[in-house]
Amino acid sequence: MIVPHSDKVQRLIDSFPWGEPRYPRRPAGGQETAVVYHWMVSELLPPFRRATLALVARIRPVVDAVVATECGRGRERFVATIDMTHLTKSPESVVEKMARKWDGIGVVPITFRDIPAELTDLGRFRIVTNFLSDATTVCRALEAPYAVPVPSGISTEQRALFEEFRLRSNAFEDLIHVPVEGRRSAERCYKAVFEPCRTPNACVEVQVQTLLQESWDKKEHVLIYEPARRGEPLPQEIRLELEAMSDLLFVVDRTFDRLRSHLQDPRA
Amino acid sequence: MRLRDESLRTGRLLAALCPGNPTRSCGLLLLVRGYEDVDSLATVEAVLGRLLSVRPSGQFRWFDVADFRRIAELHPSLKPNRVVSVELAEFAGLNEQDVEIIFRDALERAAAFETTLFPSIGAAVGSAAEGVQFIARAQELDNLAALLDPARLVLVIAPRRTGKTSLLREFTRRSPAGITAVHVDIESAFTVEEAAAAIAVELANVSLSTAIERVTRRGADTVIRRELRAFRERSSGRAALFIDELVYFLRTMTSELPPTDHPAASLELVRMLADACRETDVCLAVAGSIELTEYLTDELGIDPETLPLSIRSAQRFALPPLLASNGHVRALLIGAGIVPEGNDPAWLREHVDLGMPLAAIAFLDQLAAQVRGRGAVHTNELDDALDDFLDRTAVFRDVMDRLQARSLSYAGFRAALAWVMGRLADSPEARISVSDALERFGDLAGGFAEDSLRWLVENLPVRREGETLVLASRIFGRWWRRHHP
Repeated sequence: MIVPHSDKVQRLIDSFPWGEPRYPRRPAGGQETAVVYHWMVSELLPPFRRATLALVARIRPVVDAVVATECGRGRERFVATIDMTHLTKSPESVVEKMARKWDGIGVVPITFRDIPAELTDLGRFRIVTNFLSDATTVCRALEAPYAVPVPSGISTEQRALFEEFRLRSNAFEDLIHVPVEGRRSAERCYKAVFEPCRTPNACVEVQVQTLLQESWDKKEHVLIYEPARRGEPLPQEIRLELEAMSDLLFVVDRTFDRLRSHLQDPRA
Repeated sequence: MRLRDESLRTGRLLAALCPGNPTRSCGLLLLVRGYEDVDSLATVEAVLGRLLSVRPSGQFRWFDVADFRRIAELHPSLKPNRVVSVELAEFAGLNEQDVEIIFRDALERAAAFETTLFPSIGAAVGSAAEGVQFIARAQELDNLAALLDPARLVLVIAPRRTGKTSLLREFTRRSPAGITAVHVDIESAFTVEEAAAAIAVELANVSLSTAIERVTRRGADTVIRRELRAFRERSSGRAALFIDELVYFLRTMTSELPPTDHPAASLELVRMLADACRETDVCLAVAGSIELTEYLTDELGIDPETLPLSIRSAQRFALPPLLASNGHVRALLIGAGIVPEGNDPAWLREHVDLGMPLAAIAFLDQLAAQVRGRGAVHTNELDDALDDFLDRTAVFRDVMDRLQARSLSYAGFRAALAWVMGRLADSPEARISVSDALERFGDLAGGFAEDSLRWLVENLPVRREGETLVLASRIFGRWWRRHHP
């Protein structure tokens, strides 16, 4: 049995812990969804937005140092911007993700009480680089203080990051160099989850990707993610073409990297 | 204490966007160093959220800022030079009430697209507090407005440089209770004509040369009455004339006359002013560090019965010690770009208040200079810095001059005052009962107990709370302890 998406969302809203401590009372007049969304915006998400802002503040100097020291010649061409357009997931996306993880029949896997512990991307931002190898360099710089043993040469900025935030698995997950058979999605990026040492559940997802990967992601969001969220059917050809585009852009990124290496050191 | 870290670039921006004139758009950037700042950010956001909720919607807009240098990418109206940056660390240890005090006025100014959002210590030293510098006297403005009456003079009383002029000037700007007021400082006048011209300048908004020409042609009395009448007619509500440093002027004006002529000359001018105001239905208030009626009767020996009725029935408005909170002190530090760290906030709360604003501001100014010079001042150096300031400062000189003058007139007053102040300055929590103070003044000051108590409250930072006296300035208390062991 396939439970329609909108039915699942409605039943999730019904399962909201109405009136429990720290949760609003159930409103009259069919305003439940609005109240749940307002609760998310005013209560659930702000701590994640603040944690994200704090992480950006700690990560930005590390990225700046990469730009200043690691990239050497051609630094002026290096682009590593931090995109903070949406520091937190939208309430709609949160509910959509909860509904997507639920078959609509069994136990709800992510309840409203579980959100902070179960969703690790409530706070998130991206670091966007020009070249693929720069994305790798940025990741290595952010991972460095979490290596065991901690390397001796880490900077003050890296140490400050390490002292305030844990990096889950102590590494970024490489979703760029994934063989076809191991793919869960056509999205390409380095992805990591940081959590404040003081408040472990206030997780922040950080993605590091190239301009081309980001460009693909933004188009995919419009062409596939949003229609899927609305429960609209998607032709298989479109999915296939978008996956192929991701592969194609990966090749383009690799080519640009090779060209840059060649120009910087023709003997390489 | 350290300087604000100008290298921080990430934070949360509250922007006041001006759609009609984008160049006026401005903002307040709350700089985040790391997760250590999230508690302060939560407090500040909660307070600003409350303050914004009662303002017109759309007046302000929040932005998350990854890099302050790229602020223009967030909105085309945003320009770095129109954004005031503060570190969230500057709000560490403050409760929501203090944070609200810091932001309430700042938000008003940002809404008017101003970029000076916080008072500055340096600008507050040695000049009257105006605009952003004027803090925590809103209640006094209302209290003064309630006293103003064309039939009765108001005497604004307080030691020098404790905020009289600031209060009167702010009154003219805010017009509390709908009272249109004009403030005239006649300290620099030498003659009645010059004083009249100074008054005409403010009342008629004319140049000094025009005013002098009018006074020369028509006489001081005529010009003052005429301009007061015109001023009254222009004012929609009540009208008030504030004359600053009147006694200082009377002394200057009579300095070239034989002493026997001083009373008559002074009385003539005072009567002229009082009568002109009463006839034109303009409220008159005079301010100065020397109280007018005491000067006329005690110093010049004028029979009180010969004074105009409006002066005989004068109401006293003693400017109380500034009841400013820890938030006001911190607002001054924010204005100076000084960030308290570690135990600094607790030290500030314990040792610095604005009960005597000039003393506190002068100390903070000295401290800020040290921080700027050395980059930082550690908490355990603050006690020495304050003691060093107290040993060198002249900000209490006027108070001591007054005490000296009173002691010469009333035998035993100094000893009685020393007893009272010794107890009040003993600790920040110290207080004594009014009856104990009266008893001591009665015993030692020859029966002028009530009068001595009034002098104490009007001239020293001592506040009467019902039947209890408390010291309203911790800095003064510390100074007293150091100099009157």
